[in-house]
Amino acid sequence: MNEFLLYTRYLRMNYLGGLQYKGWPMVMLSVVISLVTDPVAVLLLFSRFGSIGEWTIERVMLVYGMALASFGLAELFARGYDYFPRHIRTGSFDRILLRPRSTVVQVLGMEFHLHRISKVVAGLAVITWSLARLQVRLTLIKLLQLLAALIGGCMVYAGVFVISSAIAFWTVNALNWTWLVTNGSYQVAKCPPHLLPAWLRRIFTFLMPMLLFAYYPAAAVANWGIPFVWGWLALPAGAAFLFAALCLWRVGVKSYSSTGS
Amino acid sequence: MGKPVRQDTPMRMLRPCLSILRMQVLAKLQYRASAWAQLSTAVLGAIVQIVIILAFYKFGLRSGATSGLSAAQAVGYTWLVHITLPLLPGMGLDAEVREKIRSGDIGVELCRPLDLYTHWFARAAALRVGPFLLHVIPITLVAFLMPEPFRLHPPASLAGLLTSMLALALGLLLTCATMGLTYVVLMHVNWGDGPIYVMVGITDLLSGANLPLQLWPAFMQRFLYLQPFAGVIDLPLRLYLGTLAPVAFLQVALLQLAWIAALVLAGWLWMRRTLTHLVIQGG
Repeated sequence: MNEFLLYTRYLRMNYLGGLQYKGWPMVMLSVVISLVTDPVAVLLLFSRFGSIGEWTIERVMLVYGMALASFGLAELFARGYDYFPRHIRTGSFDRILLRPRSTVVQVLGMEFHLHRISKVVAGLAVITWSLARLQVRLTLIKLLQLLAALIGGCMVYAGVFVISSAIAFWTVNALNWTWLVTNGSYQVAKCPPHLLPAWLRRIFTFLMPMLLFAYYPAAAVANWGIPFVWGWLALPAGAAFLFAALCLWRVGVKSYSSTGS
Repeated sequence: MGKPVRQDTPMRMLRPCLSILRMQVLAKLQYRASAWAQLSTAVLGAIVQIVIILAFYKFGLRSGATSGLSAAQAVGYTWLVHITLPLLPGMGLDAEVREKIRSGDIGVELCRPLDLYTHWFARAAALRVGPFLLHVIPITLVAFLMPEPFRLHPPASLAGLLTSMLALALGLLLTCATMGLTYVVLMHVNWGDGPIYVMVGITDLLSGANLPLQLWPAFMQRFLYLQPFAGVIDLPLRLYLGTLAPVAFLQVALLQLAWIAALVLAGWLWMRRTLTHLVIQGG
C-alpha cells in the first residue's frame, strides 16, 4: 500500500510538472490529429476494397478501439518504462537502486503525461460508436467484461514496455521494437482472425495475447458466435503476461552492471 | 582555439559532417543484440501487414476494382517500407538532442565551430543511415526467399532500381530537412512534446508508411503526389515497383529538391531566429 501511495505521489508530481509547459493549445491539437491519423489507414483500406464478408468496418473499429484504449491506458500509467532504456545507457539506474523502494514503482512513476489520455478517450469513443452501429445492447455484465478486457489489455501493453526495458539490461541500447510490437498489434486488429495463418494466430493468442484482450471480448460482447466466457480470458492472460514480464525484469535487475561514468 | 575557423566554405563543413556520420554508424553497430531484435520485429511486422493486404485484395467486396497497384506490387511495397523504415522521419526521434536541449548541453553544441543546423542535419542523416545499412541486406534476402504470395519481386528494370536508389537518397535528405524543423520545435522547450507527435503522425501518414499512397482515394492522388512527404519513400518505391517509369525520375527529383530546399531554408531561418532568444536550461 505504501508503494501504491508512492506511485500516486509520483503521478501527481509529474502531472504538476507537466502543467508548467505552456503548450496547451498544441497539446490539444496533437490530440485531435492523433484521433484522425491513427485509424486512417484502416478506413482507407475499407473504402478502397470494401468489407471482407461479415467483417465490416464497424467490427474492425470495435476490435481496434479495444486495442487503442488498452494501449492508451498502458501509455498513461506505465510511461516510465517506455522511456527507461536510456537510464541504463547513461548509468542513472544506479540512483534508483540506491533508494530503499521498489524499482518497479520508481520506474513506473518516472514519467507521466496526462495528454496521453487522448488515446484512451479515442479508443472509448471508437468502441461506443461501433457498439452503437452494431446495435449491441450493453448489459451490466457486458460492460464489466469490456472493462476487464481493457484492464487486461493495459497489463499486456505495460508488459511489453517492461520487457523491452528488461531486455535493455543486456542489449544496453534502446530498442525500437516496442513501436513495431504495438503497431503490429494494431495491424492484427484490422484482419479477421480466421484469415490469419495459424502460426500468427498462435503468436497473438499465446505469446502476445492481442486476440484475447481485443478480439474475443469484442466478439463476446457483440455476439459473433463465440462462447461468452471466452471474453473473460483477457484478465488472466494480461495478468500472466505482466507477471512473466516482471520476472524477466527481476532477472535483468540482478544482472545489471552499471555502464555510466 | 587559436585561429578563428572559417565556416562558410562547403568543403570545410563537409569534413566534420562525414566524421559525425562515421561515428554514429560505428556506435549503432556496437549494439548487435538490439540490431537483431529490430530486424526480426521488422520482418514479423512486414508479414502481418502483408497478410492483411492480401486478405483485402483476395476477399474484399470491391477487390476487382483496379487500382494503381497489383497485389504483388502491394506486397513488394510492404517489404520495401520495412526495409527503408529507418529512413522515415518518425523512426528514431532523436532523444539525445531532446536531452541536450532540456539539460542545457546545447550550450556546448553552440560552442563548436560548426553551424548548429548543419551539425544536427548531419546527425539526423547519420542516425538513419546506420540502422538502414543494417536493415537493407538481411531483410531484402528474407523478402526474396519468402514463398510465393509473400515474396518481394525483383525491380521492374535496372533503370528502375538505379533511379529508385537515387530518389531514396534524396528522400533521406528530405527526412533530415523535416527533422531540422522538429529540432527547432524541440528548442521551444515550453511547448512540450505535443507538436512533435503531431509532426510525426502527419509525416508517417503522408509518406505512405502505413498504406501505399496509391491505394488512397483517387481524388487525393494529385495532392498526395505533390505534397512534401511523398518523396520520402513512396515515390522512390514507385520507381522500384515500376508504377512510375524510370523517365519520371527527373520530375520526382525536381519535386524532392524543391521541397528539400524549402524545408531546409525554413528550418535554418527559424533556427537562426530561435537561437537569438534561446534560454539555456539547467544549472
